Amino acid sequence: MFLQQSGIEFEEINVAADRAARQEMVNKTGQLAVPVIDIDGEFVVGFDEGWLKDKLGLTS
Amino acid sequence: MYEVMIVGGGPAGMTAAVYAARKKMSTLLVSKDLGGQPLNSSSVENYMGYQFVSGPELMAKFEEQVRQFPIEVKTGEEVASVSPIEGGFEARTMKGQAYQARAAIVATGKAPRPLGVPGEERLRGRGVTYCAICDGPLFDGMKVAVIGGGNSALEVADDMIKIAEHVYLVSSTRLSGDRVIRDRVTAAPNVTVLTGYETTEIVGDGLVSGIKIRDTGSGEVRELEVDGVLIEVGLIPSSALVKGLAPINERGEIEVNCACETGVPGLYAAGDVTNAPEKQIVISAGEGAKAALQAHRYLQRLRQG
Repeated sequence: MFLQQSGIEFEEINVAADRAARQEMVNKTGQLAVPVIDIDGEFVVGFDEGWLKDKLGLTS
Repeated sequence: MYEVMIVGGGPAGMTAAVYAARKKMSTLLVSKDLGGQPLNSSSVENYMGYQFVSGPELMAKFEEQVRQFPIEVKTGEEVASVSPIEGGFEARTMKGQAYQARAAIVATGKAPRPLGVPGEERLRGRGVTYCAICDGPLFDGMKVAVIGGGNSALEVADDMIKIAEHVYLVSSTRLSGDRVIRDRVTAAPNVTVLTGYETTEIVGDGLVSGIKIRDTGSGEVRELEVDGVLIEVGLIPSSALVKGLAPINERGEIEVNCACETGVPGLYAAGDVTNAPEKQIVISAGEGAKAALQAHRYLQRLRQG
């Protein structure tokens, strides 16, 4: 919702249904937890509005 | 300095924020998330006005209402401590941020109780989870252990039967909880019920690979190979942030009177973190509203000297 409202384009992957994607997530983050957000190869587990705004260059 | 600062973004915190903003107080809401415990609830059937709604849907409605007001919302921030300062309170977050306000409302709710065994903290988010509704689907086709013997553990086991290859239900006590679910879980072909076993360790190198359990009678230790550990052994109030400042009872709840006052002038608490009886969304919302209105009166009294 936050990404949509901010007009950020994103791709949503359901790692519960897609085992290959889940394995990729575990390999890349070392974690088995959701949600994971990947911004150009940088990851955050969970929803951290401050981090997202910072990485996406959003203000307010 | 804000006029009022609300710590926690569940039903109590978000309702307090809306009431505070409607009283035109400059309002800050600091929280790990917006939604709190109902985010883990798949169905809510007793919040008035909605015959049936999922917890996340209801909390999205709450958030929508919060966002209609000029409330400063800081999520992804967990407050470590609230302390008195000249003319108000200061909240310090785990990340080292500090926020100040004249009045503070603590609405931090309850959090899952950890088992307190070796490996648990290290493997959190690496196969160990306290939120089956969020993380359960990740264990699709794997072996999992559900720890606990009450209703919430049974519900999680019941959900996991359909997702996981095998479910171990491990409880140190006999299974309690709803008979219908209990019968369904114990009869499922892919469930092993292990009562009278306490979990002593979670093992794994990077990710969970198993747990060690001990027979509470014989003391014999067994190891189960699992990829996931879903811990459902109750909840504890998240009151540590005001330890030493506000009175906390033997259950870990912040003691408040019926006006949500903690006894520290300007410091209020609302919802599941308090000793107010019955933990319900509708009650927490009401308590949050009350705390905000009380904080407003407090600030008015201060202004009038």
